[in-house]
Order: sequence, then C-alpha cells, then structure tokens
Amino acid sequence: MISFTVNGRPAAVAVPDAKPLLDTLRDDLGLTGAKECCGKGECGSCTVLMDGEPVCACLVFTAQARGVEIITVEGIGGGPEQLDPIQAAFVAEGAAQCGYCTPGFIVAARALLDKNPHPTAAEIRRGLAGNLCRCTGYQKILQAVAKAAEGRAD
Amino acid sequence: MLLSEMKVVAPGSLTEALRWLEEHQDRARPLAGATDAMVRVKEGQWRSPIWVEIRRLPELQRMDQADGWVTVGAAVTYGRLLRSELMAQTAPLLAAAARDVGSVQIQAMGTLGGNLGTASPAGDTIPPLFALEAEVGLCSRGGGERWVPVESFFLGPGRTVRRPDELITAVRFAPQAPGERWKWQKLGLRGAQAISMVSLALRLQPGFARVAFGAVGPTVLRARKCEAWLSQAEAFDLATVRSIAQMAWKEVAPISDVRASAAYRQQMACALLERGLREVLAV
Ligand SMILES: Cc1cc2nc3c(=O)[nH]c(=O)nc-3n(C[C@H](O)[C@H](O)[C@H](O)COP(=O)(O)OP(=O)(O)OC[C@H]3O[C@@H](n4cnc5c(N)ncnc54)[C@H](O)[C@@H]3O)c2cc1C
Ligand code: FES
Ligand code: FES
Repeated sequence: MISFTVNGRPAAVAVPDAKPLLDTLRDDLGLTGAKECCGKGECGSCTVLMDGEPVCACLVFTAQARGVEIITVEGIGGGPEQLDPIQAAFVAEGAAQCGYCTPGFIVAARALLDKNPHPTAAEIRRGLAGNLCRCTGYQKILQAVAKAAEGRAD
Repeated sequence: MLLSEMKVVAPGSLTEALRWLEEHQDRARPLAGATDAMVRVKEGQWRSPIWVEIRRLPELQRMDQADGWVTVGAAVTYGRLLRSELMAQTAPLLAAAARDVGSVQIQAMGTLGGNLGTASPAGDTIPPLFALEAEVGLCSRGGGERWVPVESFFLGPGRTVRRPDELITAVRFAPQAPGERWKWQKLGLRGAQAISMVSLALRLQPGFARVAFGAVGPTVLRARKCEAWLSQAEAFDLATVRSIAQMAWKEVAPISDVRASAAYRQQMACALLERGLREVLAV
C-alpha cells in the first residue's frame, strides 16, 4: 500500500510503485480534475501541488508520493458556491474555452500566488510558462490571474 | 521489464541507499525528481527492476559554504537553487542556469544530481559547473567518498565515470569572485520547456577567463583557445571581441539533430560568445 494525503484526506492505494501519480489519482482515487495531455511534463495539464509545490503528476512515480500532501484542483476552493478567487476570476474573465487545460492553470496559478501574492505581469508569465493552452491565446488566462492577484474577483 | 514490475525502495539514510546500490549493482538505479526517469520509462527505456528513492535523503540536501568551498547536495532542486541567497552570492551563474530549466513544475522536482546523472550534453547546469571548475562528489559503501573534476566526470552522452554502486552526493566549487563578470545564455526553440540548442557559461576577471559551451559536442566542453586569448587581451574593443568569438567555431564539435544542424550550432556558439562578451564588457 502507498499512503499519502489528498485534498486533506488520507488515501491508501495498492498500485504498482512506478504507476504515474496522475493515473493513480484519476483511476484509483476518482479525481479526474487533473488531465493527461502530453504525458511527459511539457504541457502542465496534470499539475497538482505536492507538499505545496506545483508538479506534473504525469512524471511522478506513485511511490514518490508516499507520505506527502497532494492538492488537486478538486481541493482548491470550496465547490461552486465558494470558488477560489482564481477560479472566480477565470469565470469572470472567460479564461476557459474547451477547459482541458484549466485545472492545470488553476493549480499552477494557486502555487504562484501562494508564494508571491502580488506578482508582476512578467512573473505571472514565468509562473505559468509550463502550462499550454490550445484555445484561448493566453490573454484572458493572464488577465484572470492578474485579477485574482488583486483580490477583486467577483 | 513491465512498468508494473518495477519496484521503488525508499531508504531512510544515505548508508541504506548505498547498500541497495551495492547489493543490486546494475539492477538498481537512483531515483531523484523522476523528470528524466519517468519520460524514459514511458519510452520503454531505463526499465530498472529497482529504483532507489533519494529525493528526500537529508544527506543530499545541503547548500553551504566552508573552507573555500561552496557545496550543493545532489538532491537540491532547481527551485531551491534559484531561490537561495547563498547561490545568488556565490554562484549566480549556476542560479541563472537553474532559472532557465523547464518550467516551475520541472524546477520543483528536477535536481542537480539528476542533471549530472542523465549526462546530456544539453544539461543546463553543466556548462556553469565546467566554468566553475566544480568537483563531483561520489560515494559508495565500499569505496567511501571521492571527488572528481566535472570535466573528467562525463565520458559521452549519457555516460559518466560513476560506478553502479555509487551515488552522486554533491558538487563543490570555489565561489565566484564578487566583482567578476559572468553571463549565462541559452538558445532554445522557445523560452520555457526548451532543450538547449547551444548554451554558454562565461566568466571573466582580469587575467582569467572561463568559457564553457553546452550542446555542441558529446559532452559539455571548454573553449580553451578563447579562454587563453581572453585572459591575455590587454584591452577589449569590438574587433578583438569579434575575433575571439569567431575562434569558438573551431573549438566546438556539434552534431546535427532534430533541434538544429551542426553548422547552425557552430555559428550560434560564436554568436552567443560575441553577444555575451559585448554585454559583460560593454563594447
Ligand atoms: C518538460 C521537461 C523540460 C526539461 N527542461 C530541461 C531544461 O531546460 N534543461 C535541462 O538541463 N534539463 C531539462 N529537463 C531534464 C530534467 O528535468 C533534468 O535533467 C533534471 O535535472 C533531472 O533531475 P531529476 O532529479 O528529475 O532526475 P531523475 O529523473 O530522478 O534521474 C535522472 C538520472 O540521474 C540518475 N540520478 C539521479 N540522482 C542521482 C544521484 N544523486 N546519483 C547518481 N545518479 C543519480 C538517475 O538514476 C537517472 O539515471 C527537462 C525535463 C522535462 C520533462
Ligand atoms: S500531461 Fe503532464 S505535463 Fe502534459
Ligand atoms: S481552453 Fe482549451 S486548451 Fe486551454
């Protein structure tokens, strides 16, 4: 058994040690927010927080998560009634189209603002440079994160 | 070997990790941040029966300065490197390279030891370590600790002098001089997530120059002719800088691959050196 914490709750899974953590989260724990796209660390759609750091879950061996604390997009905000300011800003700015990249962006943006609550535009770009979006052209995503950083998300 | 047959062991100490490597030799492989390992495993390579997890070993986390050496543990991540006050003061060249690796996600997991272990000629921490004339610390249960100059550590792409029972424990180097001029430059296809097509680590002090190029040979290499001319030059005007930069053409030995042709890499090595010199010398 491999045990760790996910979104504040204890989890224990019996999976192969080298199974990508992303697959364990999705298949074994039913947390399908994090998405697989490239499967090799290049697109960020699988981003989760591991002990507070944003990581690509597609590149983590499940055994490496032993004893750590994982936060997925499901663990950010308190559901539709209590959105995280970043989620609210994504809605307000229309920062999602197909939405496939959105969970990764939300988690990466949360990690950025946790470390740096008032980033410059350049710092936002750098913090999100590991996340790809094939739909929006990024402008609205960057606006949404800037808006959330100012704390005036509706 | 199927992915499902691979086992990850999590030793609690360096001694225990070394015992796994000693007992299993070629059947065991260190596992740090897994940013290279998982990609290779998914491609069907590196299917090691045993992975020895070292990411959280306390003995591999150090970043300190003592007796003229700055020492950085093998499991230090890029994120820690680039946020470290000590690194900003003693090895800004290395910190600058760490900032250019992958993305924040890769920087959170990827380690210095992993970059050395993978031994890609395009590994971004390696040119700075060449320019710093760093030493790589290797440790085994039978042989204890040894320090190898970084230039003799690499044998070719993916090949190093590390024995299967050894772990890379740290790198160490003398700090950069406070007033020294230095420059890190990386040429990739885009800003983030790009593997270097050519990279340059440059250090200049009066009578002293170090020039190391990445991705233009089977290993990172030093441009010793450029270094000699730079350390002997009395004054730097544009013509001198250009002629020294042009010498890089003959010093590098690149190949053509999916990212760039050999001739392009040669030209860009000269261009990066000229640009770097002009910037740090303000000519
Ligand atoms: C999307 C993406 C972008 C990337 N961008 C860059 C980039 O810009 N620049 C760059 O240089 N690299 C880049 N990389 C490659 C990779 O992130 C780095 O090489 C990183 O430093 C590897 O470290 P790791 O801790 O993840 O190593 P791992 O994957 O855990 O290990 C890599 C190899 O080193 C060995 N190893 C690890 N630690 C030790 C040790 N202490 N002793 C002995 N052997 C050891 C392992 O056995 C393995 O063979 C990128 C990778 C990805 C997936
Ligand atoms: S799916 Fe993990 S980075 Fe693309
Ligand atoms: S909204 Fe479709 S990929 Fe970003």
